[in-house]
Amino acid sequence: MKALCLSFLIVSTFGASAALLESPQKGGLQIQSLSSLSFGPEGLLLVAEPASASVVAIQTGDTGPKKERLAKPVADIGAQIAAGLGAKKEDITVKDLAVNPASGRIYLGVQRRPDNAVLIVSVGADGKVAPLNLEPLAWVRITLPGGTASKVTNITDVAFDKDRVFATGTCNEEFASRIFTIPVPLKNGATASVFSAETYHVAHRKWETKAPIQSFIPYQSKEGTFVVGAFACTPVAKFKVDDIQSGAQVKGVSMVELGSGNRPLDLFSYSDKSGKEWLVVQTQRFKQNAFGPSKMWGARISMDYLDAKAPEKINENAARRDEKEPKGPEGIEIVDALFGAVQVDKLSDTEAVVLRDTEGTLSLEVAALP
Amino acid sequence: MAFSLLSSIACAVEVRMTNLRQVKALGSDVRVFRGDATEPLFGSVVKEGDHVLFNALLPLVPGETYRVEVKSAEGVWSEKRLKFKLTAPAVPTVSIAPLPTVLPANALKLYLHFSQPMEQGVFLERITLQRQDGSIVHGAFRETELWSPDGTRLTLWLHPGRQKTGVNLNTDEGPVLQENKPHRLRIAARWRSAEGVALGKEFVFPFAAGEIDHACPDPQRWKITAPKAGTRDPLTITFDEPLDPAMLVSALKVKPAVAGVVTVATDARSWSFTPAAEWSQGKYLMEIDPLLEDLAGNNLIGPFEVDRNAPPTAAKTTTMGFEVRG
Repeated sequence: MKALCLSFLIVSTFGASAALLESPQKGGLQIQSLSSLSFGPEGLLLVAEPASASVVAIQTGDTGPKKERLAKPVADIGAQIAAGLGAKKEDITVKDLAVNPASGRIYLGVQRRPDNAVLIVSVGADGKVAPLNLEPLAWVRITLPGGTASKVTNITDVAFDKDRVFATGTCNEEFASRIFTIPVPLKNGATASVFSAETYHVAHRKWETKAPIQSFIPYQSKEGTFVVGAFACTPVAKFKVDDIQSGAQVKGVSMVELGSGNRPLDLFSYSDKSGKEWLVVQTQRFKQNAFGPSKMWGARISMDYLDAKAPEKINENAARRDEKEPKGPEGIEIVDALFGAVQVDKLSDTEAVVLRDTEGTLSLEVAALP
Repeated sequence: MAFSLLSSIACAVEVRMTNLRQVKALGSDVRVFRGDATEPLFGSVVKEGDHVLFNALLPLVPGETYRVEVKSAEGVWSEKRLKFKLTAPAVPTVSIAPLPTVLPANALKLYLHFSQPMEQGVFLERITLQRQDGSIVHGAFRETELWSPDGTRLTLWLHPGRQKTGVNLNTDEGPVLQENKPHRLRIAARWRSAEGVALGKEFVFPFAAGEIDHACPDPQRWKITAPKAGTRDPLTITFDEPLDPAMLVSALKVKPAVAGVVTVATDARSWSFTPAAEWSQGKYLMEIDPLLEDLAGNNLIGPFEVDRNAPPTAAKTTTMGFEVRG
C-alpha cells in the first residue's frame, strides 16, 4: 500500500509540472559540480553546475504542503552532513542553501574535500539531514552559451521567474558579467539567451566596471522585468531584461551602494507586517565589521529604492549606506539576525533560514525578519 | 583509480569492498561509518542472497578508515574496520603562467597549472603573496574560486578592489602589488590533489611587478611573421606585451579558416599556429577577439578602468592581414 501511494505521488507530481519541464529525463542524473541552488514553483529545484556550464532543473516531488519549518536550531549540522558524506567536518563546504517555498524544507548543496564530490541534502522539521535521491526524479540540463574567447565556468546565481529562468555568470578568464535567460518549459539542450551586463559602480564614481553579478533576484515593476543584482563592493543595480536580443549589452542602473569592501552572498525580498517590501542583501566584509560580531552581515533595503530612475537618485547619485551608522539613510539598515550567516534564504515574510558559522562550527536555525 | 585494501581488523565478519562505492558483507543488514562517526554514510542497502550490499552515494575516500557494522542472519551486530589506499598515487605539481612572470603593477590575474585536479575551497589558505621585505599581503586575492572544467587550472585573481584605482579598498589597503618591486607567490606543501595526495613541498614562484598598464592591447604594435606557401611553417605573432595566456588559445583565428594547432609561448608574448596541411598561397586575415585581454584586464574595446571623462582608447583594429607567398 505504501509503495502504491508513493507511485501515485510521483505520477501526480509529474503531471502537475508538465508546464515546467518538457520531455525530461528520468534517473541517471549525476551532479558534477554545484555553485548555487534555487527553487521555482511546485518543488522545481534549479542547480547551477559550473563544471558543465549548465543549469540543471530537477522536479523534486517536494510539493508541500508547507509544514517543514525547522522546529529548533541544529547546533552542529556540519558534523551531521560530514558524517553522511564520509568526511571530516572541516572538509565540507556548504556551497548554497535554498528553502523550498512549497514545503519549507531546507536544501543544501555541499562539496566534499579533497575529491570535490558534491551532493544535495535536505533538512526536515526534525533537523535530520537526508540526501536528495536523484534516481527517481525527472530532470533537464541546459548548457549556457560561452563567450567568444572562453567558456562559462562560473555561475554565480540562478532563479526562476514565471516564464523563464535567469542565471548569472562569468567566463573564467574574462572579468565580465553575463545574464542568461532560459525559456520555460525547460528542456534538454534548450538555447539560453545571453546578455553582457555592465553597470556603474557608485563607490568608484567615475569608474565604470564589468564586475560580475554575485547574486540577484528577478524583479517585476510597472516599468517591466528586471534582474536586480549585487556586486562586490557593493552596488545594487537593476538590469531591464524585456525586449533585448541575445548577444546585446545591457547597461545597469545602480540604485544603492552598501559600502566598499563587501562581497554579496545572497539576495531575497520580503514584505514586512505593514506590507512594506524589502530587499535583503547578505554580504561578506573584507575587514572586520564596524557594527557587529562578524564579517558576515546583512542589510535590508526598502524596495522603493529599486524604482529609482531620476538622474539625481541613480548611478553617481545613488543612495549610499551610511557606513558609520547601523541605519541610514532611511530605508537602509543592518539586520542583526544575519550576523555570522554564511548562507541565508527566505522562509516566509516573517522568517529566514540562516546557516551560521561560529569558529568553524555550522549551525542551522530559523531567524525572525524585522 | 586503482586501489588496494590496506588493512582490516580481523573478526568473524566477512566484509569487503567490491569497488569504490560498494561494500559487501555476509549478513542481513549493514551500515558504514567514517572512523568513529555516530551517523552512517549516505547510501542504500540491497539484499543479495545471504549477503548485503552497501552502495555509498559518494565514493569511499582513500586513506580513510571505515567502520562497517554488519547484522548477521541471527540478528547480532558486529563490526569491522576497513582502510584502503591508492596503489600508485601520483604526487601533484604546480607551475605558473605566464613564465617568466612579469606582471604590470595593476595586474588582475595569473594562472596556476596543476598536474592533476586539486581539492577546491581552500585556495585562499594555500596561496600566499609575499613582498620583497618578506611581509605577507593579506587579502591579496579575489575570493571567487575559478577552476577550469577539468579542475587543473586555477585562475588566480589579484583582488580587483585593491588593484583598481580609486576604489575604497585600493585607497584603504593599497594595491596588492608594489610597482617595480619583486614579489613571491608561495603555494603550500599541504595542498592536496583530489585523490588526497599533497604537493609535499612548497612551491615558490618569484615574479616582478612592473609599471601600471592602462593601455588597450593594440594589434598595430604586434609583429606578424607569415609562413611560406607549400610549407607547414608556423604563422607567428609577437606581441609588445604579455597577453592573457588562457584567452590566447582561442582568441585569434585565421580566415579563411585553416585547420591546425595553436601554441602560446610560456611568456605569453607570442602566439603561433601550425597548419595541419601545407599553406596555400594567398592573402589571409587574422581575426582577433576584441575581448582578448592583457594581464591588467585591458581588452581591445577598452581599458579595464574606464574613465567616462576621457576620450575612448579602443584599439583601432581587430584584424591583421598577412600574405603567404611562394
